[in-house]
Amino acid sequence: MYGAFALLERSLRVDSRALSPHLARLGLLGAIYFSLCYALTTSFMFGAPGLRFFQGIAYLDATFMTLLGIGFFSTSITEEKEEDTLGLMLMAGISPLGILAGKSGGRLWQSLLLIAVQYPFVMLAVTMGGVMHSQVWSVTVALLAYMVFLAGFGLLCSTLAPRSQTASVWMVIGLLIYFVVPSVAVSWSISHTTWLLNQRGTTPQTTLFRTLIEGIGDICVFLQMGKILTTGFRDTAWSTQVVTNVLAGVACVALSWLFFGVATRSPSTEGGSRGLVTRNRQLSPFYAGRTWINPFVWKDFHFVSGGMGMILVRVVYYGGLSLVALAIENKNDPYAMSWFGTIFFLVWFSVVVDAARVLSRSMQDEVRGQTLASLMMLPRSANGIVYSKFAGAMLGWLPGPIIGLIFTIVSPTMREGIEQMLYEQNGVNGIVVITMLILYFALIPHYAAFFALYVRWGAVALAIGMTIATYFVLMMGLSICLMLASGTGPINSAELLLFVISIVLFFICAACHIGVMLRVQALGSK
Amino acid sequence: MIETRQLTKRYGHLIAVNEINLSLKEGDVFGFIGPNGSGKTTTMRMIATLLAPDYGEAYVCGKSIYNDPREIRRLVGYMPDFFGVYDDMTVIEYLEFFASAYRINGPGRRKVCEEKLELVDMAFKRDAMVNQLSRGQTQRIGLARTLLHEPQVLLLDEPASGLDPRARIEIRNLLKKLGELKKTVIVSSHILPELADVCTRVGMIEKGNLIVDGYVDEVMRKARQQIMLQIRVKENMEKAAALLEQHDLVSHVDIVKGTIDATLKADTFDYSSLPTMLISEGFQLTLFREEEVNLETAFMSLTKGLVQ
Repeated sequence: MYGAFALLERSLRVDSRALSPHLARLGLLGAIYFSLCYALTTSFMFGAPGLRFFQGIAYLDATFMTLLGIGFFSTSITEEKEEDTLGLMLMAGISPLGILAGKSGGRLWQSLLLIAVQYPFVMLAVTMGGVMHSQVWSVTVALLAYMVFLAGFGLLCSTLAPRSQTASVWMVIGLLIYFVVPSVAVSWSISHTTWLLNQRGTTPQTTLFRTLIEGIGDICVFLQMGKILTTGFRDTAWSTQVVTNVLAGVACVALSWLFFGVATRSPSTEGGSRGLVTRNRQLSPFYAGRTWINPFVWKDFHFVSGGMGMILVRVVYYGGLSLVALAIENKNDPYAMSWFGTIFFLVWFSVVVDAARVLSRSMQDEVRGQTLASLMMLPRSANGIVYSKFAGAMLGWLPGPIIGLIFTIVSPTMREGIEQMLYEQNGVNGIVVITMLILYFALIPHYAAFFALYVRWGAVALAIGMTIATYFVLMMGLSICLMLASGTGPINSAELLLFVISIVLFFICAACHIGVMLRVQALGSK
Repeated sequence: MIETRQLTKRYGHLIAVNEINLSLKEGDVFGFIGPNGSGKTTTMRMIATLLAPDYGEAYVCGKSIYNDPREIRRLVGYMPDFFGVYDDMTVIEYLEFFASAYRINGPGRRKVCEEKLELVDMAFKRDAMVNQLSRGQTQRIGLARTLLHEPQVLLLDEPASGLDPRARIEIRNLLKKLGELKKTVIVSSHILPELADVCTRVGMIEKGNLIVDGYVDEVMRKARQQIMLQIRVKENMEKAAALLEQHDLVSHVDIVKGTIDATLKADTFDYSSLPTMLISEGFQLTLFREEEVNLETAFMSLTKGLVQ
């Protein structure tokens, strides 16, 4: 186990010396402090400030951990594969288990610290009222178990995948299953098991079926937190979610160990993939062809956003989702309408995440490939190069927003909703709300492009996390300021609040543009 | 063609490049010699307009690095010591991408790319993926990219690094050819004998200071300020060494592997009296020669081995 301790020790040393992990923990404490102030300031309007404060923190933690896990845990082994250092570690006598434990242990420890550091502060929620000590403890245990699952699953993806990007994609798919399947199971269990019991009565088979469906519904951390934070929660902290998450995490580590030799035998194929872009003229629709007059647009269209092949994939994906949503829209069923809403959100969320992904890749590929110096040596302005690259990347992204817009316009429900928002309520307010929402969504790709120049992996996850953090800070900070200034509560000042937030968001986006330019020039000169 | 005046770059307290003055004419092939971290790459990056100096000025073909950076980039081909390539492209796509970035468009673009591939002897890898190339082949593709826009000035940072002996000879020949084409070249390398063959001028940099700059012959002459003679006599080597040590022209004497190494005093070029003296004292000379001065020995004699 020497290797495991050597790697773990190094990882902890790096963590303790680096500034960024300390800043991340400080930032988290800052977010808690903001939530605390907000909960206290608004306590005269809403009851149970402790519960609201704790709820906000708990869900923020779970979201942040999920995003962190995608970029952080899924790269623990692949980054060594890409640097070709895995073989050196094995030659140095570090066992596969040592490498796995050493590489993921340090990251797990850093993440656990994020939860541990806030525990004393969240206990204040008990003092504030509305939440019990047992609920705080149960949520903390649930989050720690979820963290173990994320670390284990990320390690498995990282061991099996040849590249970090692939590992991240696998992890996203795995987590989607982790979130969607229990949610569907819960909805299905509510609507169908009662019907089944009425039809067939209580038999061992129906009981087993019901237990199984309910069990699946119990494994998701978000659903479990929802249960814990309901009034009158009295269950044990060691729930099905905790047990299954920890077991799944440990099983993933065991599988990683089992498959380590096979999965790491062949060298990494980092950077060699052209995706759907062919080198063969005969498959002309997906052929990159000759370089265009603007080579940066050509390059990023084909090699970042995936070219014509990925345009087709996007058309099928967004078109398919939109058609399904339009098909279920006409059914007068509240269950179908909730799915319609989910699909609508998914379409637009995918558009935003895809924009963030292509923009961050546009920058990250240059940083990782150390090609920025070659680009900066070209007789073109840095701005021209960067914006041409972004244009190329966004060209392949376009089917998403176009189909999304058509879907929104064609759908009577959505059209009606937007019209209501713009005209039937307070017209000015509607425009401000829509502007703010667009700016919030625009902030994610802006952050992603900016962070891609600083972090090796997980810029998109970091961007989403930062956008959520920005939302909390702006909403809480500004509403506190407005309340303190007016003394009449936030309702009357809502329009001003949203307007100020929109302006701040606009300036953050502009700052990201400037930041990207400065960083690109700095990296190009290295 | 290239002129620098007191070009200086500092990183905190570290002076990476200290008031470097250079003046290179058209057709000069300038060998930039110095240990790792001596400031070669920083100097090249400042001339290439990638890095802003803290003090001083540099001109390329009369254009200032401050006022005309884009024009300089049009005139300069810069190949860094380590450069990334787009792994997901084929060789020809990679070159066409950069050709287009240099605004070489139309039907002639493919021809230009293929000519450069021929020049670096990589035409056979035209449709190969860039990530399938060896280190040396990648280096050659980098050189082809640097030459695409027919630059007047070439800045080549360790172009021979990672190349096999045959490829090194080819690069050397290519550099000679570029010099003949009246291009101004600054080339850095650790393999000094190669530079001696191709360079018309050399500069030695140590700890950010340009300690020697001149035509190859001049530098050799400077290095020869203290000539070392290698002498062998048939018998009584110690006695001969003692006799030489007492001579006015000799600074000091060592016996190494059966040969007397006699270092002459500074600025001593006429040493004809030494063999005459030895013969008149009855010694039978079997070897009497001046140690050959090449760039390596010149570098060792002119630098102090300082690194930062």
